[in-house]
Amino acid sequence: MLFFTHVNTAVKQLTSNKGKATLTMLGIIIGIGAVIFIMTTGEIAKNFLLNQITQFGTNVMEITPAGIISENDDISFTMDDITKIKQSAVLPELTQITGLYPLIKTLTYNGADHNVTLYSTTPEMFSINHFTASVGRLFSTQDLRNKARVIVIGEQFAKDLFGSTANAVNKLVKINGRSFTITGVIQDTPFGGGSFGSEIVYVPITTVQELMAPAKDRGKISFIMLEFANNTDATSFKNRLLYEVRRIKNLSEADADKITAVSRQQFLEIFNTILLGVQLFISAVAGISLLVGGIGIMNIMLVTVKERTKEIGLRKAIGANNRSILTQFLIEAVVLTTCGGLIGILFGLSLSLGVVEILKIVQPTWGVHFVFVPNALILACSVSVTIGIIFGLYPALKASRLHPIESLRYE
Amino acid sequence: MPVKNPSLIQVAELTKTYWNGKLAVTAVKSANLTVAHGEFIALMGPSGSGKSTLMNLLAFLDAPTSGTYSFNGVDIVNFNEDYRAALRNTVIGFVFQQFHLLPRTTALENVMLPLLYAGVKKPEARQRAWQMLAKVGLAHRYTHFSNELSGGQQQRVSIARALVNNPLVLFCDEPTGNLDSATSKDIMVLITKLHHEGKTIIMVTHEPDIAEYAQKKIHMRDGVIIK
Repeated sequence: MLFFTHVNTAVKQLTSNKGKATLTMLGIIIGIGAVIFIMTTGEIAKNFLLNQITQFGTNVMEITPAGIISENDDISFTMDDITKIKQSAVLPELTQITGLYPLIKTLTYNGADHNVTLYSTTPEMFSINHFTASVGRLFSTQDLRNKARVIVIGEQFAKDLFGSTANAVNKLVKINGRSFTITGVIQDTPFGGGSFGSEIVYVPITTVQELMAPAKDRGKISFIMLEFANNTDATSFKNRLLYEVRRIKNLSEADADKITAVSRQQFLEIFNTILLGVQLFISAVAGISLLVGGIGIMNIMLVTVKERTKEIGLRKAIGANNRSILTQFLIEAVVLTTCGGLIGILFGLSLSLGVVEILKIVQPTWGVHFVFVPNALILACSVSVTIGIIFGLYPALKASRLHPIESLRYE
Repeated sequence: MPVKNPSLIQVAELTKTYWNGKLAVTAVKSANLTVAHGEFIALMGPSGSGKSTLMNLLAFLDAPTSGTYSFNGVDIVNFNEDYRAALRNTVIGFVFQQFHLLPRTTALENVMLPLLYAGVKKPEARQRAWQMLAKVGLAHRYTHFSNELSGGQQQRVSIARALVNNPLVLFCDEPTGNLDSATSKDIMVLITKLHHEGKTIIMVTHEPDIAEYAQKKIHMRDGVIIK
């Protein structure tokens, strides 16, 4: 087959000047590399998030006053609101509900101070998020009723303070001068870091409200977290929920936007939208790189055709027809872009793998792992071949139309 | 073209006019020529006499402006590029002054090329090319790259390439123009041998001693055949 002879010639041509070939392919390498990298890392990020959300409960919704950041915020929730929502007749899908109230405090152990974010909450928070104690126990409804001075801390914090998680159980620590007993340790979560780099400490909300919440905030909670049953129509549920919250808080229709409810599914959708945006942007940049790369290929192919005019004349003189010459130079362009594409694929995959390996070292608890995206490879290969055909066509046509005698005489 | 005609080539009033900008240059004027099977003809004349243009027309490298051309009993009326390419590939062979071998390519691959364009499978093409190299005395050099060969050897490879498709006629354009006199003699001995084996040969030359190898000399001047 003449096809393989042409491929052979093309490879010979390419390897005869590797430096020139690499420079020519650079645009394609960068463009394809970027496509592979963004598609692979995007898929890795999606998998990671989906994994996290599945692990910590999918049917979870958070209700927050929209203006939670502002100081003179006029909407805030209380534990009474939670009881009312729980008792609502229009929310039969509701399975569990809790409130959270974070406070930045100082935890003292062995004379050393540590900044902590104290999450005041109820035991439902643990079951909604599928948190389990890796050692010891989580605090209970009993502790909540008794306003017990107990806390639950994360694994890394336990190791930092006591050397191991097992050592942490039943230890006494001081928060704002008052003694608390650590009942148990829970696994760390990727997004579980407290505000401003502080560690998270969970405490019964009744204890905090009694002991240390600022007087004006007593009884307040910052946001509500709830779980709904499987097979719930999330949109309908959310509408009824918001309606109930407005009714309980006596808010008019106009104040509807002062409360937001976001489900974890929705969070995933929002993330996917942002990811798509980023992917499109990087794809556009990659597209420009591929366009420039393609023009580079066209340029080098025109030079090649000029340099090899005599060869074209000779091939025609011994019987090559126009189509055969066209095919030969098209194949050379496609071999060039395909090589660039393959190098780009390796480049993009290595880059993605590097990011994953770094994350594995920096954030071992995240459990990020590499994902192979076959679609990205198929796309990259077809784009490489297509660019070769598009930008190789003009030089190849030019070669095929050369006159045999004039080409043979070309100096 | 299996029909064996007494005359292989018969041209009448063959004319080729080039347009050099707005200036018409008639390189060949009303050429009438008959070449019989097995003839060895030398086309002679000073440079610009039109001998190369006439050979290019006869070898289907160019299309005439007017006139008729009958090759092996078939009137060539269609001069489109692809048809001429097929004719060049199958019924003629061409030897150039500058050899025109592909660089970074072995002697064998150079000789195989016309066969591949003719659609011959690679193993068979390799076999036939090797036999042809043996015939021109280069069997031992078939793996050498063309640029590793001497001028005389390159011209032998070029002759093997021209003969590999077993053409009806071999065209040689100043075949010794780039060779020293000793090597020129070797090449002319080889061409003469091919002629004795029955090959029809048309050779362009301006060197009288080279033309002496031919049976018949045709002289041209200013685009016209003078004798």
